[in-house]
Amino acid sequence: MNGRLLASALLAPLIGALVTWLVPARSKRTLAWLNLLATLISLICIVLAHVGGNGQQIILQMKNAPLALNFQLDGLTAFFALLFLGAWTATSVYSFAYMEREAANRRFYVFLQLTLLGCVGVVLASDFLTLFVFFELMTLCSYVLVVHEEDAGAMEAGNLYLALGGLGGLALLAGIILFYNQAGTADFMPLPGNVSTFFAVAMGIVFFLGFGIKAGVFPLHIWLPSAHPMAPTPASALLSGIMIKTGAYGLFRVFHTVLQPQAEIFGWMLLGLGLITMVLGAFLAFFQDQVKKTLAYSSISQIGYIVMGLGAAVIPSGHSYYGIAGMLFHILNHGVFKTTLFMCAGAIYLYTRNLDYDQLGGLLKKYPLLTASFVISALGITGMPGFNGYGSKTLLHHALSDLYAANPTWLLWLAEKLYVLASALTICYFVKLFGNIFLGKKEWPGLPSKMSFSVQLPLGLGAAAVIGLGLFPGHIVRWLLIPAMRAIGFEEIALEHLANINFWNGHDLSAMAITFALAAVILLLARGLKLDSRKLPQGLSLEAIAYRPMARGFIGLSQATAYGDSLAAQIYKGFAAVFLGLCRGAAALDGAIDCMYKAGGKGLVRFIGAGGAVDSKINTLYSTFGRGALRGISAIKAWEGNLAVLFKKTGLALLGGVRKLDGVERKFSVLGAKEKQGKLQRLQKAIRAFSGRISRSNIELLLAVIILAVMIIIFILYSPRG
Amino acid sequence: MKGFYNYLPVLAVCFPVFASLVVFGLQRYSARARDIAVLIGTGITFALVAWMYPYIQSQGTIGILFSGILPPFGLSFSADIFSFFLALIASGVWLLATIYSREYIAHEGRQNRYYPFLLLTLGGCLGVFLTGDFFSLFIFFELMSFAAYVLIVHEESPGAMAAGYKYLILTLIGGLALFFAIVIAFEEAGNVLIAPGNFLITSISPLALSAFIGFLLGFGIKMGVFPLHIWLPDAHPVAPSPASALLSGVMLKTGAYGLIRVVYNVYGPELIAQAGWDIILMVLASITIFLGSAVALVQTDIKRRLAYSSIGQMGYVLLGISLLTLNGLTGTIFHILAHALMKSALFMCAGAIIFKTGKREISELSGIGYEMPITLSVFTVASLSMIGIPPFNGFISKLVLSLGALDAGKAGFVVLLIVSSLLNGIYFLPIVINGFLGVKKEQRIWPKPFAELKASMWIPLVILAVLCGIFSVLPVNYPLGWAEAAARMLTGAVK
Repeated sequence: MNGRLLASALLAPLIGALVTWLVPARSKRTLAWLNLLATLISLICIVLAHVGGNGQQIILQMKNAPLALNFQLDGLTAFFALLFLGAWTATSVYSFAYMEREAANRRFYVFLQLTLLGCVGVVLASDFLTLFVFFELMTLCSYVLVVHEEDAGAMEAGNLYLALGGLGGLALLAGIILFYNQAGTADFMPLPGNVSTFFAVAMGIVFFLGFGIKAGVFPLHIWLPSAHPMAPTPASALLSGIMIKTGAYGLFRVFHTVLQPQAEIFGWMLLGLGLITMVLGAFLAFFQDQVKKTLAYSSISQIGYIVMGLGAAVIPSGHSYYGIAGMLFHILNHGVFKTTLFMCAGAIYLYTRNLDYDQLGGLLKKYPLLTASFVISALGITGMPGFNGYGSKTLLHHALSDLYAANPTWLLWLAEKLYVLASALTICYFVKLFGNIFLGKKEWPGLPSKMSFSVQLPLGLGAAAVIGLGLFPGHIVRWLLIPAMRAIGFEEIALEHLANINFWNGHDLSAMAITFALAAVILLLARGLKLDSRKLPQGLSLEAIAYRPMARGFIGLSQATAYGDSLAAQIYKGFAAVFLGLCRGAAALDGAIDCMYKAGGKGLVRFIGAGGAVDSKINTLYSTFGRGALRGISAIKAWEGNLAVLFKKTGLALLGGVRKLDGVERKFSVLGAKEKQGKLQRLQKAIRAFSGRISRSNIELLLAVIILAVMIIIFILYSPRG
Repeated sequence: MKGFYNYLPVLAVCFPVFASLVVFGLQRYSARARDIAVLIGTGITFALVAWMYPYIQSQGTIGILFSGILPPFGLSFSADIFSFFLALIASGVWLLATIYSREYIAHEGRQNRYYPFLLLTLGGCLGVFLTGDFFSLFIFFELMSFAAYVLIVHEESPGAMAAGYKYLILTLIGGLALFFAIVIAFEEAGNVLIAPGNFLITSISPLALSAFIGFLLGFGIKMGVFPLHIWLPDAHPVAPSPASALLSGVMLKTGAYGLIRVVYNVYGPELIAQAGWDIILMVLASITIFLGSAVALVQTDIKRRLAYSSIGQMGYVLLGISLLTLNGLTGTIFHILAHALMKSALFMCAGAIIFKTGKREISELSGIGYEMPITLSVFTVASLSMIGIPPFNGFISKLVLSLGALDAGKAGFVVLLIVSSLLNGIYFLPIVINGFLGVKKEQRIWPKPFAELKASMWIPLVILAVLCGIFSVLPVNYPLGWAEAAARMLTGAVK
């Protein structure tokens, strides 16, 4: 049940943002109502869960999720969540009137709720990964609130905010990764003892970057005075009053819980930086000439108190409960009075459209409630007894003087004096602020005499809270701070000691009296030296001295890399050129070879030509031979024709002879012996006659037959055998 | 080798190749039929890849060897969880880019050439992921590279031709270097199979080093590793935007895939560490990360900025490979997915802006968010993922990579990743901011308001944007689980 309430508290702003985004209504009031409703639901859920659970620890875990989000609600986280949601509710009411005159309300409310989700998620997270998820959500969504006006100044401030926010987020991630790697878990727990000092210190530094930027600790504060005043006032109030506390909360988790083994180093570092931050912030606030800028520098100064308290608590030799109690109490007090002060500034701007010192004045008579609220909150921040700042400043002062008692060094003596100085300077710039806004004889004829109810209500509530917290500091310690400190494991003896503090003793009251006296001296001096109207030179700001050159160097490095890259491309081109040159050379060589081939070819052609001439001569020779042969052949042919005729004649003659022989023989066979003899004689006569005829007329034939026989014999003898 | 499922890798690779022929034939008859066929072809390919999942879960590795094709090596196809993961990314992003292409390429023209080559490139790309040996891988690697050339020079402008020529030359060099390395590996081992525990090269020798350099050249050119990246910032921006999305989102990953296979299957992490070659990779990765991010910062053309950003992101991938730790490898494999989703979303958004306005200079894009809210919202989501803002994928991969670097005892890389993330923020957020903020209604530079994209263009964008963030919100981060399973398989670590 309580887990579900916790989940609803986280889901309410998310769903609220979705509904605000999608709802078709265009009326600004509807959107404001949606925003207020979501914030209230979230607040009520946390109250019910915490009170209903009697302040017991409630754990909400998304099991088996890859990016498992784990939450816990205990005394400490409830303290933060309730502070955040309370301030958020007040500013949500305030937005009704304020945002009426602004554009892009839908975007504003969507991102306001997402920023709320981020802030609450950061403090409710029970491990670093969950914390980181919501931290990034908060950074990115609050960027949209910062640049809401969308003019050049807002965009520039937004860029600085986003650059440092992004850097901080990434540094935080690096710290978380280192921690996860070394501890094997992302839960808030002390680093194992075997981790090397190098790793622990590196981790501390990146964590400090991550959370310190968000908190606005010197020297990481430079985005704050430009970004906070740029946002519309409800957002400024929340950025300055609430959001920077997430950084302080993170610093607390890291340096109080995780980095216990290195407490000595980091405790002194935090103490020193806290003191510098509080003095520097107060000093710079004194020289501002615009209300919201003064308040932003004041926030830096107050964060210095908180970080100083943390440092004093972390240093092992002191009583850590004073520092932690003072820190938590001051977080609460600052949340209340800074939100109220910003809302006062917003109310001034809402009616006069101006926030510059030299344009304001004389508002005391015009808006008495506004004046009262402003004065009460200012008294709260200065630490006037009876108002809330007194309690926390007293506790922090105790922490510092306890530390001095344990380590009586001149540095800590100086620290104590610086603490008083910062408190005195706070009084000074608020006197200056009050004088410039409310005193003077300036007339405001056109202003409405009554403020809208949605402005009056949160201002009244804020002032009442300042007084309420201021009158009963002991009760606050017992009801709120001690449960919170019990949740982080403080011993009961220490808590009992804390519960029995009497804030109204002569020592603490006289310390405050000294502070006020010092402030009076400083103011008189400043008036005498005419310091209060001076401005600080622009060139001296940290942004101009350190951050801009760093950014420029970074961009320069990128450009150099780009140049290097183009150089690489040039080198490629050079290689290509060399390669091409080689290719050209090869081509030239190739051409030469080609020429050689050509020359060779021509020579060959010429050679062939010469060969042709020889050939033609041979040809002629052959043809001569051929012609001779042909002539021979035709001669032979002619001769052959004669021969054929000769053969024919011979054949016919032979045939005639044979026929005659045949006739003789037939005649001879018919005759008797006598006749046969007679006939034979006649035949003999005939044969003799025939042979005589042959020997006479056919010599040619005889010759031919002999030649033919010889040729046949030669042919037979010399024909190839195979 | 029984069972139908063993043919799934072959089918997944061959289907788009044949589909490209079908599309080529079909376009003569009807442009509409062609568009539908392309879509169906890519869809079926995606389905085929997805179908492998249950079998890979139960069998580990599925696949088949065709020893008769291209002897003596044969053409082999196989898929394990790593191949499957990458093939799923490739075909999924391809499907979305194809849906997006319809409108976009209709505007550019020459669809008849674009679509068949788009499918052919998909076939080559899947072939690289789903082959079982380096020779088959090489074949599909070359197919993909040359088919992609046609996509790059699609516009045929002088710039595109010049960039395409540069791409072609470097691809050729890479292909030859890869072939050389594969031949050496074959000479050393007698086979080039990609199988767990089958280390092809088992001793350090000059030959092994030259093979390593060959592999590094071959896959490094495709991956865009410094100093082999010079083709990338020219070629990616000139291609039509869906093709740029695929070149940057998917095709670069083939190089990373090959290099992971080389480190974990050819040499083995022990040998690489023993030889000290991981230092080469680390140095190259560091330079690539810083260079890509830093140079992206000074680019003024939106697509060129995205291309340089891709170089930086591939540096992350190379870093994860070089760390030789389980977390590093898991981070790398998951970053392959993360980068595929976010960079294709970014390229398609840039493409949509160019499609609608014709403007590519970043300074001219202020106020674009009022006219194209969906597009610029998707761009914002993808940018946040690039920077590494939770709960988007980029955050998970950066986280796991950083843990891997710390496991390897190299905390310096965490700083490098952080610095690079910061640079990502510096060059992405101004586009988003100037698109949405800082310009009042009356000062907008767009004289006439114009309509947001058609649904067929913005739906793929929105799907990609949702995928960029959904996994870390769901109860189980499936891709991270697969990436881890793949890393375990490759490193041989038991669960």
